[in-house]
Amino acid sequence: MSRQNTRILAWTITICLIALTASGVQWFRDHLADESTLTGWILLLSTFGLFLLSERKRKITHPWGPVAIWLQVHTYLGVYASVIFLMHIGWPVRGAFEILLASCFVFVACSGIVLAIYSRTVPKKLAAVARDYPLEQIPVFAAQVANQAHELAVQSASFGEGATLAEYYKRRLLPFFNEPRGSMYRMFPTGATKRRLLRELGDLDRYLASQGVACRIKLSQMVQNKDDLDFHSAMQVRLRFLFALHVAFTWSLAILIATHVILVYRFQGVM
Amino acid sequence: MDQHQPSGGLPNHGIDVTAPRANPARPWVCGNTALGSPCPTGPLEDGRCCRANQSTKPAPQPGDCDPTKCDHECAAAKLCKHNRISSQPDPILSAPCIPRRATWYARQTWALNIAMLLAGLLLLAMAFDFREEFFVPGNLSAKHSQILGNTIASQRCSLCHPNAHTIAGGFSTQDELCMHCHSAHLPDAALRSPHDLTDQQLIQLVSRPADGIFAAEKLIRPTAVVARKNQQPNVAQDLNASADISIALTTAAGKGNVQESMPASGAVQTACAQCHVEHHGKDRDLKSIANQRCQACHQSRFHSFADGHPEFDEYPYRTERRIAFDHRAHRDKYFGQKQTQFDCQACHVVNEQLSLVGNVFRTIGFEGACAKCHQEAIGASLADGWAVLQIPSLDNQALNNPQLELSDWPETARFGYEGEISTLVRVLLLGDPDMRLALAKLPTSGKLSDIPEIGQLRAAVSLTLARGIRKLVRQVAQKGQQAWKKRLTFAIEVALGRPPNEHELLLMDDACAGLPPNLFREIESQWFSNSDRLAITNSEGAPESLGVSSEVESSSAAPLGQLVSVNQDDLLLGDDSFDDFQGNEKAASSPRFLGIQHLTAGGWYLDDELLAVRVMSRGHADSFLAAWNEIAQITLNSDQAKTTDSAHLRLFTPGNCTECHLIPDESNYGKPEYHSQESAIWSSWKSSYRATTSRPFTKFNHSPHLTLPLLKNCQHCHELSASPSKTLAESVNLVADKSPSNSNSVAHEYLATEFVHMRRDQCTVCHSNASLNDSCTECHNYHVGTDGFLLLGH
Repeated sequence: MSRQNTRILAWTITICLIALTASGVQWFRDHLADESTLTGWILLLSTFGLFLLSERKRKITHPWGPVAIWLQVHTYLGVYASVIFLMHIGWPVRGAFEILLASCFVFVACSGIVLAIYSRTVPKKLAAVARDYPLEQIPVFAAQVANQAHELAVQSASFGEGATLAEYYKRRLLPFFNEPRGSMYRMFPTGATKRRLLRELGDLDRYLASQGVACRIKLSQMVQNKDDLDFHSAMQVRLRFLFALHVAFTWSLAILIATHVILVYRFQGVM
Repeated sequence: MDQHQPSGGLPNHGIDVTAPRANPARPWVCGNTALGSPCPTGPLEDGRCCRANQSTKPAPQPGDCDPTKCDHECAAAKLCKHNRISSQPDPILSAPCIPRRATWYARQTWALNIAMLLAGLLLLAMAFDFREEFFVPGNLSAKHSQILGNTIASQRCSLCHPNAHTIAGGFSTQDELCMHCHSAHLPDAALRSPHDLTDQQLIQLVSRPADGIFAAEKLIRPTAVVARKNQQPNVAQDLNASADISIALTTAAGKGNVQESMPASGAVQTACAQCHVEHHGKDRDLKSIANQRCQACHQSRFHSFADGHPEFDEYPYRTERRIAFDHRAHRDKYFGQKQTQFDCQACHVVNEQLSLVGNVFRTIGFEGACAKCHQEAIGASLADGWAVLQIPSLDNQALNNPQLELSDWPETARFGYEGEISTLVRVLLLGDPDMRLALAKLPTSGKLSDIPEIGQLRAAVSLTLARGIRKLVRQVAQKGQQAWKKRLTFAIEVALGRPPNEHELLLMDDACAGLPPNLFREIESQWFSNSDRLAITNSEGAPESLGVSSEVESSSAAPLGQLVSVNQDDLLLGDDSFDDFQGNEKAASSPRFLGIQHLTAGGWYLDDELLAVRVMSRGHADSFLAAWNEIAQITLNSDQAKTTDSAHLRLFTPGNCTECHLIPDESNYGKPEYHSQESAIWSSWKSSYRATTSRPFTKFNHSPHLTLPLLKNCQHCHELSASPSKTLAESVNLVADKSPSNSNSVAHEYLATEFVHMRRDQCTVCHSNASLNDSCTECHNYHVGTDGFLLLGH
């Protein structure tokens, strides 16, 4: 089955489940039953199903099927749970605890949706870069590029063509190579700084002789390499940070859900 | 596809994605990972480098090796003077590293910390006083909002939730806690049944045969199971028997089909929270119910009020009228003759007051609606008061018979058999067993002169009744109101075959209220002054023949069921005691007492001239007259105690109360429809009020409707039917049997068709989806209860 057909099938199943649940809720409502109990338990089971992905990742030696399939189930189950969540809560959400619980669920759900989008778009953006950089090795590569750039700038001063390139390096490129990028770039990485620096380096050619131009071309390549490293770092850190948040708040969500269920049944006099 | 080509068409940049990767679940990673050369073993479980315990050889120095034996494996290759290239691993990378926490492990630690922090905050929130404010799932509605402000913990959440803090007050369910506060105004809601009705009421309500089976199977049987569980075997047995009867009746009807008629919910017990959802803020109306909720149980389902709602069933004229008011005759005949405008709102609208249906009343009362035209006639009939007791005139000769014990009969009442036995006396004599035969021979007019002169019938009946009256006067003079009340009790027992019920007891109280015993003592001393046996001042020493101990005693002179024997000789004897001159002199000494002059505010007095005890009424709404009207109807017209051979008695009371008041018969007493604001006793006399606490199935508020110009004309909705050939009065008078019950039924039948029943389309003009509210609860009450159920006429 092709990827597109698989996706269509998955969406069809999800929508059918949502419609089935909505019909059940309406049936409960029409027959004076408590639809909140129905949606609450469905939501609880769905959330438990979403937790299973984490367990599957830990069990690397058990034949529980590929994680990729689990991730797909997790994604569509998350969509289903989000819709059930909207059925379950009344609007507006009232009460500090209920708002905390709903906010936590919404945050986990939204981070999951964003993660699903990122997991599909980030690899394509990273693939557009000439080379792959493992996140753990990027600091080492960045230090190497900075050292090479520094040596090249020092070397350019000895060509007898003046200190134009070295002065430019000192003024503009030294912070670029040795200082971390700003938080705005980490969140929304763009090539604006790179393009500006490359344009400025190109403008220096009129002041340089042949050796200086060759050196400038090497520097431009290093600027490109450094920007690639920064882009890789920003994209991967953003993805991992979001994933960390997504996972971190699932435990909080579990605690809040358990408290909610206990409170509901306790106050109904059942427990 | 290339084996190393990543999925999604991404180019491979030299990374071998198929190469084994470190276990992502390990807590530590190699410190050389950042350098791109992690050791394949990885750190130990305790976080130490795997090379930490390996013995490391000192780095070889130049000259330590033999160049001829260099195997290209020298660790000092960079310093080798022979410029050999080392193939040994980088000494930095091969040295022990400082392992780092794995990303997964750091992430889990972070998640755990956040979760623990959150759990701690929740526990902290439970410990402080504001825990209710924190955990409450939304503000309470306006009417409950003060609950969370209570200072005592058990008066906050525990007031509604059984296990909020502790087990509160012995209540185990949330509904019971609801009823702890709401049982006063919704007493039947404790049943937790649809519309707060009992099983039997539900069976009556669902009249279709199939519904009878449903009610039996789904309502009664489960209740029987519950009763059995609650150690109530007798109740369970009764309920099962009730279910069997219902099913038997249904089956007999022949069309029972449980599956077709059974509501899908099959709910046996309802819960308050099914409809009243709390914690939705102060602006939430707890009474607002979605239409779909109503249709969860109701069999005939429809889309909306305008689309599919059943047509009205005799609305709003289903209830019986209590005042025989002929609207058409008044509009066309009486008001027309006086050239007065017939304005509905003049009699039916009081803007300053509200009733169950808004500021509209069935009538605003006699003073506001009727007095203008009818006060004069009623006043004239009450001018001399009501002669509740009149000493009849008897034959002088017969009175001289000592066996009759009527020798003390007033001298001014010895002119032959004349006079009238009033309705009141007739009822009181009904309590005397000796009088029944005489009462049966008494004509409906009550006049002695109307007794046929067959043999000595008139004399016998008259003298028997006279003996009864004499005994009545003695008893009242001696015992006071107690004697009167005992006679009434006995009369009701004779008439209805049972002791008086609560309503009748209340009537008896009012029928005895104000009765002055000293007036009867005065009768004894003045009218029966020649009595030498009266001993009223000492009740203990009262002669046996005069006293009545606890029950009305039989006459010693005449056995039960017999008229007194009339000695013809005695009847022919002259009356020596009568002194016409003396009597005239006594009368001339003081002016005649006139009630209209001396008792303008009402009261009792003696009419010495006519030997009558008279009562002046206290205006139109006199409770004494009303009570006697009802008692007379109950006793004299009951099937068991017909006091005459002829038709029913027409009640002869001043003011002709029953000409306008349609007094309900015994079966209607106690119905909430007839409940008035102050007491149920006078409910049948008042139609101007329906308690705002009543909760019929259908409700309507006139007030907002009367603001519309079109609806200000009441006849827009309340349309008189086509002109009948006769008026109400003519129809009643034409009936052959003029008994009160028959007259009432004729009047009710006439009044029931006086107006054209309202139609649904009169309402849907405005109440539709597109304009005004058309929800079920706009016109219907859910919490009906027994009171509302009875308003349906069940």
